[in-house]
Amino acid sequence: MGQHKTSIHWERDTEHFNIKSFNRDHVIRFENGVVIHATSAPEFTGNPDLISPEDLFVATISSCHMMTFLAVASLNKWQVQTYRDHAQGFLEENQAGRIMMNRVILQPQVVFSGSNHPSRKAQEDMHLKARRSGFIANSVRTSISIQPNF
Amino acid sequence: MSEFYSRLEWKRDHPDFELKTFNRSHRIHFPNGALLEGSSAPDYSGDPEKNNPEQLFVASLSSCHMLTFLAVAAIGKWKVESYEDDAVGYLEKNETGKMSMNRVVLRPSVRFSGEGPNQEELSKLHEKAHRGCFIASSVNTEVRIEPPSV
Repeated sequence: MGQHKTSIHWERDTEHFNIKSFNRDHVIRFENGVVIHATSAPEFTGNPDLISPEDLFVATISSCHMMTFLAVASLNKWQVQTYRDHAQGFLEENQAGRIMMNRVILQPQVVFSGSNHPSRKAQEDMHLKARRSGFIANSVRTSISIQPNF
Repeated sequence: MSEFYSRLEWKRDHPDFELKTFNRSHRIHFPNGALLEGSSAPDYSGDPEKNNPEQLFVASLSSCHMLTFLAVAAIGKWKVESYEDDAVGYLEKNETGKMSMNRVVLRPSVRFSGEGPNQEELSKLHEKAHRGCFIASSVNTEVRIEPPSV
């Protein structure tokens, strides 16, 4: 249905190409002109000031869940004022012994306006609905746990 | 093994909260201070100037594959000069009828110094990178690697 394109570029800037020391820094470009300076995670010799694929992975799950939640809330006529999320991703071995982004925890905090606010149960149901229809959530093997902050 | 965090904020900036028109723009912060301006995809009322989750998903896969490829090449004593990838992700229905990032095609173009690997060796390096890539192991997306012919 939709196509999404990115271009990445990496160029060696160390004389040797040694696993311990080669530069991990690279550039990701999007069609809209946005540029992200990326690297590998610090544990894997990356630059701690830049964004890693694992960071992007956590961000895409958090962002997509929010978008879907907002759409669900809007359809249900609840008026959302603000939405915040602290997302955590865990890179660890899965049951098969493979390293992956095994778990992501979202901790959304949603503020509603107006006099009528959804109950905790109603909010949890909306998160569940968003979780089930999130395009990114549907694309990952990661276990996603949603722990709303009321 | 290791943890990754992202923090996101969205604030309604329209008086009403209609599905068609509410602002999708939001901000994603990382612990190192890096910031991404997020939105939904243009097909879903998003701002095309900002990054949507689908793009970040493709970027995460493309970046992770490259970093793993570089490590695999360094271990195999192939000296990489530069690496570029024009990746495309397709948002479409999966086998169960759910919308997801169903397919991603990576098109990595790698330059080596000295004599590089032949086509078969290059494919093997990519296969190994794919199997070892943490993000590829975290998705149920079909990832195809189509290097341009050497």
